[in-house]
Amino acid sequence: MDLFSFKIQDKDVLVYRSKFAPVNTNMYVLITGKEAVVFDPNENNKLLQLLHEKCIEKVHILLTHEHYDHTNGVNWLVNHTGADLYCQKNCAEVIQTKKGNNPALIALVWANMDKQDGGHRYKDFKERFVPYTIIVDKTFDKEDRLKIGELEFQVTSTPGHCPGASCYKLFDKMVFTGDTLLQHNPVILSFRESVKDDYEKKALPYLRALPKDTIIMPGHGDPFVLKDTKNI
Amino acid sequence: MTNLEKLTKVFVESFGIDAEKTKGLQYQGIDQWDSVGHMSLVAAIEDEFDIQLDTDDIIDMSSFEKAQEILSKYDVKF
Repeated sequence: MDLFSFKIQDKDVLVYRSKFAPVNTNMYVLITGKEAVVFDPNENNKLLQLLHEKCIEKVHILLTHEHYDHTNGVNWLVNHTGADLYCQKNCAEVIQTKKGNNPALIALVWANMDKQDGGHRYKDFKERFVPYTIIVDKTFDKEDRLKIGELEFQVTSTPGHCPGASCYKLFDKMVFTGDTLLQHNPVILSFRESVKDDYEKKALPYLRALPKDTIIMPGHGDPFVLKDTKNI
Repeated sequence: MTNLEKLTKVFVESFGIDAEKTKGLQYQGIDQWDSVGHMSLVAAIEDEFDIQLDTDDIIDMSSFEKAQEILSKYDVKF
């Protein structure tokens, strides 16, 4: 796993990151005492190793939105650690259904890769995929505050990319944006569930109000400073 | 409206193209028909014809004509 180190309000913040291969979706892990916060989990045994090494007793999963590439490791992590799960209420409504956890886009990406190099990722994926639902422990609607150990998050619903999209601001300095803001690629608003008007009236004003030196932890790509993107 | 007209309408609305451009249209043949656009197209087809496509069929739906062939398996006649 990659490790990013930040100094925020005299606190050392370490963020571990691993990527879900087909579309390089970021999973972030923050440790605070004997607790861990995991954003958008994917299956990665190195995460379990890290949690073991840090003697973590409680894991909290936070979701930035409901898309499969950001949620596919939730049940795996819950089963291994007993983690609890938190997300926006629209996100919860989607992932609590089998249809809402449809992996078709990722399957298509696998299949396209296979066509190019003769691989068998799609076949392997199809053989092991079983439709599933996800149980959510706690939701919020528009805004919320979370305190986990020493970590304090201001949580805000930022729909547009999808109805359950959310941003998590840590210590007024770092924001986990999911797919609501990426550094090099514009937000995707062409999903059937995307609402451009919501993005322009809710997500964009939120992003534009952030200080330009805010550290952005995006759903895809490397962390960056807000002033270094042209996408808002 | 015939099923062909319905399918054409779905393509037109999903990709914002003229109906004449649907004939022979292929996956990734236009910018709008990328992997994300494909998922929107699939969702619109499922809504229009009240069906649920199998994942294999979603992946095989590589052209406007192939969509007709696949839909025929779901008792949608053209």
